[in-house]
Amino acid sequence: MYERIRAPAAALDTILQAKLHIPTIPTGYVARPRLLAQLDGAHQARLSLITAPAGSGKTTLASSWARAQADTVAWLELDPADNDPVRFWSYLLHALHGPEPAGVAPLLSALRAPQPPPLEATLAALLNVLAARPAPLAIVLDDYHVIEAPAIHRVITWLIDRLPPQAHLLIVSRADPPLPLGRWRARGQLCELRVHDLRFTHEEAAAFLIGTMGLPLGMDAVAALDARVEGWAAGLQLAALAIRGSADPAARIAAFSGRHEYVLAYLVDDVLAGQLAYVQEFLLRTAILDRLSAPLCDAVLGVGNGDAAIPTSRFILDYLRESNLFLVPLDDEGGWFRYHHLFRDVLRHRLRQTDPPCVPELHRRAAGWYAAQGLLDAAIPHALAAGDHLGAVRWIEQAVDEALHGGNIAPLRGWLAALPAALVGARPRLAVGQLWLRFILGQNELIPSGIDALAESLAAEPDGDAVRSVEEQSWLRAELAALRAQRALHLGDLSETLAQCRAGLAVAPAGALRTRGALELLQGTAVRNAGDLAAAATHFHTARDLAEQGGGELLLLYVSNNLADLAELRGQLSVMATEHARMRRLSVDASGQPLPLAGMALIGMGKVARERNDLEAAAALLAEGIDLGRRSAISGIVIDGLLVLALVRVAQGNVAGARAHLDEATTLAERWHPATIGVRVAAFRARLALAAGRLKEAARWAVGASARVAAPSSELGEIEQLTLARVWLAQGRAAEALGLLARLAQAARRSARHGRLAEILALHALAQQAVGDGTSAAETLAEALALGQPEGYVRIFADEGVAMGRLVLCVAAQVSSGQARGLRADYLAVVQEACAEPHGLGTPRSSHDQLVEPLSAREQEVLALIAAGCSNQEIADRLIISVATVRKHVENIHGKLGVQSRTQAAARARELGLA
Amino acid sequence: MTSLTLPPDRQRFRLRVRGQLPPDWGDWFDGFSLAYTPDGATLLTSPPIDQAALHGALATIRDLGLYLEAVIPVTPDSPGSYPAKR
Repeated sequence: MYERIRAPAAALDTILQAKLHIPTIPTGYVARPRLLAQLDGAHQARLSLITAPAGSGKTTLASSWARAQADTVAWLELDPADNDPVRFWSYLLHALHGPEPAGVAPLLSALRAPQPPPLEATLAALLNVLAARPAPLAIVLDDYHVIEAPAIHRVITWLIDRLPPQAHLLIVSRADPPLPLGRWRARGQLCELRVHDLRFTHEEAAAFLIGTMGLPLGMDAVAALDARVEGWAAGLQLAALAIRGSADPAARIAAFSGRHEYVLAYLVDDVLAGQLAYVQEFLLRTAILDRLSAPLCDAVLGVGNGDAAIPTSRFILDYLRESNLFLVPLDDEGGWFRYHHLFRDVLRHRLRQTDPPCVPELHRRAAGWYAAQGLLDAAIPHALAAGDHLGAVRWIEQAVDEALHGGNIAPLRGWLAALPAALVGARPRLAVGQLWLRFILGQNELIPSGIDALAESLAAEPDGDAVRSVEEQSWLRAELAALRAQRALHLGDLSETLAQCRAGLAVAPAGALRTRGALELLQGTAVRNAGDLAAAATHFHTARDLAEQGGGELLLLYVSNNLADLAELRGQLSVMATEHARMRRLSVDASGQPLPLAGMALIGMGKVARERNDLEAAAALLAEGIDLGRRSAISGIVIDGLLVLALVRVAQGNVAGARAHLDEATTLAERWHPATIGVRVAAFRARLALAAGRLKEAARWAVGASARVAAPSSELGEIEQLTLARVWLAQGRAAEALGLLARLAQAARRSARHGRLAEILALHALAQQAVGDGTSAAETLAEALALGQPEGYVRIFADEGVAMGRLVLCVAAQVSSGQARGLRADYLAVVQEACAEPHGLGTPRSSHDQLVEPLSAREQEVLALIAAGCSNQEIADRLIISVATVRKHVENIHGKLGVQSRTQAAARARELGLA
Repeated sequence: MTSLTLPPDRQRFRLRVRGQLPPDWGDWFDGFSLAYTPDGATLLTSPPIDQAALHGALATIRDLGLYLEAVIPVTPDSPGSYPAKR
């Protein structure tokens, strides 16, 4: 989520890739088969843990193991900045993207979206992806000791407890992590390699000192040195570097072994002293860097001005690598390196001791180099380390507007957190970015005070560096108004929203296209919520013009989203289809992955196809949209799609399929959403019960629902109220339904919501028919049909089944006798035919309780035999019919029961009491 | 155990690590004084610190690969530190 702010993607990917790169195994590395065998044998365990002090060879061991595992390892090297949970999990997903691209890409894309799903949902989806893998997968977390955030430890524990058997976690750390290790140890789920395992045996030390480092040592000297450093890998390496080139290495070892000094300090000093002056200086100065490349080192050292006497950084890096001087490659191309952390820390300490004043300057140079590459994420920490807050601030300010433009606002989070709060408060551009970020993250409690502070700082005289042009000042005032409008909209205060939008638009500079577009969008939303749909459309179109002139892709996407929703309300199916299609095209991130909004768009397109009775197309679009929502772990989209798909399934005669969809929607709603979503799902369940002839179940739901309708401040949505009307009609309570529907019709007519109005009127006509008022019924239905005809609405009517079909016939008769409303005979014929199809939603029909279509007597016989475990041949023999006929019967039974297999058919037969 | 003159959440600690640290390494441990024992260990004595600072010092010891031998609270009746070697 840190990519693509201002930088060429390839350059930024370097930093990300470095964290995900399985470290290259050093040349002359000493193979340690005894340790590798332990790791290989740990597959049954959930967690392998390598804990030992710095410099024990943990990472080398883990990487040599990982590199032998083909493409089944996700590697992540952690650093202290990864204590931000959002950053941590985003990086982990990036790491998993390597071995598992198809499953992880949508989760990553969803995390980058303006409204990311809850982390728990993403991780639950991740577990499903891992569980579906045929091949094993290991996740390696290197340097886990830098993680201190309890939130991360908690979720890691949760994850380890749920890992599917083919997944395995390997944690590399200097200290035991605060995880329930005892529990896993007791269950045999933990494989541990600790300091005594990692110590170099004398044989391993000999292989390294004599084989790799080429020292002419006897076994006695090797053993003495190994004992002195206690098998510590870094100690052996430092000692080898220190004594290499010495005339009598054995004598040096003997002298060294007799001393009391702390070996690290002593040895690093010794190694440094053995290097040429320019190498010493290179090591000390570049130690401020977490990652090194030759051009970056040149910049930090201030070389590259044609001074031929000083070797280039490229040359020195090659030398360090060849000399085994603790340089770790971060890629396979030799572009990026880091120092071994322990070595780096000692070098940094030496630099502070010997030349403290130069440290800020070195950081400033590193920041400048990164910034010139467009790598602000790396530049800003160096600027902060240099004490150059203002430099950092200028870069972050630059990034704010672009982040708001492109929608990728997440990187601002870490940067703003690193700045002193007072500084953010004093810089209005930063405050604007922070406030929008808070809206996105849902930190609503921090917003009012932030808005007040921003207003105050805009009213005050800007100081020093922050002198603002008139245009800048106007833009900030417009942003302030937009923030206030957004806040008022959240609170449901429409008049305040509108007032702020007007104020903002009055001051916004002409060139502030995104800000003006956002204000128009907010104004349109408020006007829509107030019920004026036509005026809302005008504002949205103005916002679109501004977006197209350069207001940004994100704005364009939001405009389409809003226009599509508006079209749905107004009953404009063709506009709805166009806007959703546009939204789908725009919902692609920089890497070409569909964003979660694409799932919403597909579901919108599916809704249109369903309304027009193109059930197959609807099912395909909805399934694709649901799949996208599911893979992005955005359950709101999934639920929305499942509800519509359930209606499609019922219309196709597949009640069991519909029930499965609603079961999933119920589970998701209970798990991830507030009660209001569950209420909506329950209404769809009632509608399904009605369609399946389970009137009792529908009636039970209606008891609760009608109590809520009767409550003085009824919050029950229209969908629930329409379902209630349907239940009442089925119960023969048409008079009560009439009153409810008349009220709903009035409200929909007032706000020109023609799609909904047509649906209400269709039910109203049924109610009028039921109370014996056939004339009014035909009139009401004619109005509904007149609303539905221009956009091709069919399902609104067809869902009510044969009763509706008869009523449509009456209207058609009136039309042919000249009482038209501009209704066309061909449209009426299509609607009438759709109503006559066997599977409506409205008319309960069934003999066997839950079946849409009853089984014939013969089919019941066949089903009983299937349930008894008979083959087709056995059934044919038993009933004295041909096998082909049995097959036909079985096919029909499967269709009527909505099942795919004989086993499912048998189970359903038992459920229905047929077997 | 605790000193009467210090706020209860602040305490002086003495950390004993194996080997002799160079005298200028005291700055890894902010405000700690550094002394050597006759048997070749280093004693790091803290100013009055809270638990968070103590954990920070322990993390530094871990990150430098030092071998921690003991941590003791320093009370007024504790024996004085060993004289520095150099």
